[in-house]
Amino acid sequence: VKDGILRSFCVPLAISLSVVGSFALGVQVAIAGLEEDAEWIGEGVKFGGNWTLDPATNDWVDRPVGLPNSPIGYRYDVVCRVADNIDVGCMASKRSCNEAKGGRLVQWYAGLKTEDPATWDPAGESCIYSEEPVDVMDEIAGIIVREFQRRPVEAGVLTVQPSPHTLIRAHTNFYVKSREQIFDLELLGQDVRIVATPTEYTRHYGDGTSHGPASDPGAPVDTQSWGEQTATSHAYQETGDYPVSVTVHYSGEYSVNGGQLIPIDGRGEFTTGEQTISVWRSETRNVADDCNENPASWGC
Amino acid sequence: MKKGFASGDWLAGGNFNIRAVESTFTRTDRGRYQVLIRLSQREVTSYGPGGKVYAVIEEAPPGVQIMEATYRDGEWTAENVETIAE
Repeated sequence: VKDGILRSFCVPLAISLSVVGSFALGVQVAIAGLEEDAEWIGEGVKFGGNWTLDPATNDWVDRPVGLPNSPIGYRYDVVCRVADNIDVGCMASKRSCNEAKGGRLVQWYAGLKTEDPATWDPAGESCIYSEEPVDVMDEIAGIIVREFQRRPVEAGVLTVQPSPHTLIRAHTNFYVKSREQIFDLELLGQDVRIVATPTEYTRHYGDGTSHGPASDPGAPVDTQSWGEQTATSHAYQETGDYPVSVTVHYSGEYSVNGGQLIPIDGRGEFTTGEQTISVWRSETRNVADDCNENPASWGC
Repeated sequence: MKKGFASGDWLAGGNFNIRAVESTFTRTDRGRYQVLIRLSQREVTSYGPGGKVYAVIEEAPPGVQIMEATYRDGEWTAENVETIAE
């Protein structure tokens, strides 16, 4: 297996499950003991799709852009709670949450949203500092999108090739360098961490056209290839000065007091500063004299 | 894909634990049935010739894969498998 791409296969389902599972979790090595009749063909096992549940059909679809829709749900319970009380004996063996008043240890659980939440698996513990930990977590869930969108996320750095001058009708290459960013903040008395990850890009060319959102950030090209078309290039049809920028779409996850990372149900959009591109026209003519001999010559 | 064991490679560990399998058993417009599989895998050690340890991949929290399958002539065929959440 090379580059994490596994060719598709046509095998009985039970075998498929075991083979595929090893790749899902990042093991990129040959499979020992694969049955002789396993035939690998066609489309392949892939990683990093953008799957979302289509509400119209209730089918999962892999869309090229858009916020992925996680099939995983999360819940939490206060550790050692019996009815409305805390079992002190049970708590004796647990980590303490004494960094602030009202500390409670909660156990996270994760599983498919379509499963019975009672069957979900434990997914770590964290402290919550509130008299009513369940309420405060719900409140954070309700405001986390707004807080995410308020973070000073650096959109990224837009590079235009060539710049600041380019030629009319030649392809001008645009690419963006952006990165994952982490923000720690206090929210309703809890230490909240937000992780922002760039996922898509909308290029604004300044001539009334734009492209995106698209998942390709673009890439630099050698100077010899300037003017050639790339996946993220644009050809201006008129001369002039154009303000260009890129809006970078970030998806986010958050955790509370070091607990489970949970996807944020909404995106943040952050735009690079504008830069001006001057689009020029080039003309080529044959001339006989230099400008000293003939100052009125074309181009002098 | 190759048969690694033929050149002295093998794996140890990596037991799968299928935590949940969910499907609506309805055909998509592409004629496929979709199933979500939540699974975890125990630590895997990758060995090379002479017992050399190539890599140790620790157990990760359960992830979710989607499998799209067709059913023809009494046989299921997995047409596409992707990890959709880790």
